[in-house]
Formats: sequence, C-alpha cells, structure tokens
Amino acid sequence: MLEAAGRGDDAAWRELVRLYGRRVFALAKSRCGSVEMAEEVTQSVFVTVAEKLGGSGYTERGRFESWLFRVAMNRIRDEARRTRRRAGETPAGGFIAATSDGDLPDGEHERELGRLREALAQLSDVDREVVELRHHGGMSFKQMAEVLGEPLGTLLARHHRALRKLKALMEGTLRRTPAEVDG
Amino acid sequence: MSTSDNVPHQGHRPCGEPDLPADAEVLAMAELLDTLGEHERAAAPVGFEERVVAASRGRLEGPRPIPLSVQRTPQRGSGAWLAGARLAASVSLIGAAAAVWVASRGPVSSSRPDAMAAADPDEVAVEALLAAASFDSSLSGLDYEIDLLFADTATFDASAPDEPGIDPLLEEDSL
Repeated sequence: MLEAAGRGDDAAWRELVRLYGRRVFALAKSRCGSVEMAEEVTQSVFVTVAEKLGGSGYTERGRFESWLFRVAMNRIRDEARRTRRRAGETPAGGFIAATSDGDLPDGEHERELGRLREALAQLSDVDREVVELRHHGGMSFKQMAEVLGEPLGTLLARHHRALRKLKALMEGTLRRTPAEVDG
Repeated sequence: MSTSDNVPHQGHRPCGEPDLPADAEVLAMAELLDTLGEHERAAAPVGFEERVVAASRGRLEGPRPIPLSVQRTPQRGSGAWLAGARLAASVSLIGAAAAVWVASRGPVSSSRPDAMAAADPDEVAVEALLAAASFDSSLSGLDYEIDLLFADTATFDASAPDEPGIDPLLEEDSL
C-alpha cells in the first residue's frame, strides 16, 4: 500500500489517511486543544509524509507507523512551542488545559473526561507524550520506543508513573468544590 | 481503538510486551484514557479525511523540483561580448604589469621623499588607463581626456608657484 501510495495511487493514499489520520488528529487535539489547529497540524503531517513517500525521503522501510508518528510528534512539538511563545508558559508543562473546543460535558462521564483532560495538561511534556501516544495514538510500547528513542522499560515505567500521577491529580481535582474552583 | 488491554498489569501480557505490576486504580485510569482517546479521535469534524487527502495528495509526486533556471540571455551581438572580453583581458594584463613593475623596484626607504614621488599611484593609474585604452576601442578618446587633465593640472600649478605645498611636511620625521 505504501508503494502504491508513493506512486500516486489515490485509493492507497486515502486508505493511509483513513488508517492514521484520526490517530494523528487525536494526538494533535490533545496537545493543541482546538479542533481547527489539530486539523491543520494533521494536514501538514500528511503533506510531509506524502512528499517523503513520493520522493526519496522515506527510507525506513517496515517501520512506517513509527516514522509517521515521529513526523507527527515533531510537528506537534513545534506547534506547542509556538503556542507557548504566543500565550506564555502555563504551569506544570501543559500549554492548553482541558476542553478548549467548547464541547462542555453534559453527563458525569463527560465531566470525568473533562477532569482527565485537565489532569493530562498538568503532566510534564515527557509523561504526557507517553500517555498520548499510547492512548490517543493507539501505539504499542515497542512503536513508542522507536518514536521516542527510549528503551522499552523506561517507557513502561514512565507510563505507569504517569497514570498514577493522573489519578492523584484527578482526585485532587475531584476534591475541589465549585466554590474553590470559582475562587 | 482500545489500548487498555495492552496496559501492563498482572496476569496479562499481550503483544509480547513485558508487564509491570499494576493495580486496579492504574487499570481504571488506563481504561479512562482509552475512552478519552476514542473521544478525541471521534472529534474530527465532518469531511476531515477528505480535506487531509485533498491537501496532501498532490505532494505524492515529491517536492516539486526547481526548474533549471538556466536561461540564455538574448544575443547582444558579438561586438559587445568581445568588448567586454577585451576589457577584462586588459585589466588583467595591467594588473600583472603593475605587479611586476612594483616588484622590480624593490623595497624603498620611507625616509626618501623622492621614493614617494616615484611611486606616485596617480601615475600608475594613468598608465594603466592608457594601456587599457590601447587594448579596448571602447575606451577610445580616454587618452585625449587625460591629456586635458594634465594640461589643467599644469595650469593650476603655474598659477600658484609660491604657495607652500605638502613637501616640507613630508620631510618631517613624525610622518
């Protein structure tokens, strides 16, 4: 399929976008916050991928998914740096907190997801990347090790620690009353 | 796409990945994160994939090569080209001749005023221009202009013979 897409086969390219587009989008949305920015980032990632596939820039045969997500992470980090420069650094390493796309949760489950987004935004960048690649990008730890250039054991430990941290952050958030949040 | 089944926990080792001890709280958090991931993937707006395809499909041909920008300049006629070549050759020849001439004079003592006069750069420049004029017809008439300049200079010197020049200053040791 990659070869066909590289030759300009429209159906093959559509299939690649269908397989990976939303996963890249979810990563970008989690970091950038807005749907519009996430779509723009996703488009630029696939533009880069298309150029490399069509030209001679793709040399990592057999590891396409890792390569694609490495391209995506680089692009998302760039966008994160730009956003930080524009808006100023936010505390705890997160640069967009919670639901900035305006879809206010209406049920308890949705509220819980909102709290999870807030907690995620408070993780350090490295912890956040591990969590997002795993759960938003749907990657295996082996692929994540290739993307991030870290040993597998390091990533497993970091993921475990990040989940505990998220749990603690959410419990802290849950304990805050509406009056405390408003105040 | 659920990944919670890959989260390391006791008694389950999918995909050949090693496990770390995990408790129920961590597993619950992993499941909640999976749900959030699905939620974010589903948040892609209508027509998202079509727009991604439309934006990127054209790039499958690779980065557009920069067309060779070697353009033939319009023929200006061989006369102009030859004049340029002659001028370049003249300048090169003059430079070489000046270098030989300066080298043949050897080192000069800065305490001798006549040495400074002999090495007058104006004379060298004039000689160079005259030589160029002899090589290049485009500089024809230049020798006539230079003659006029010499004549003007001589007239100016004759009109002020008693005025102190810079020669006494040249004999000062401080210079």
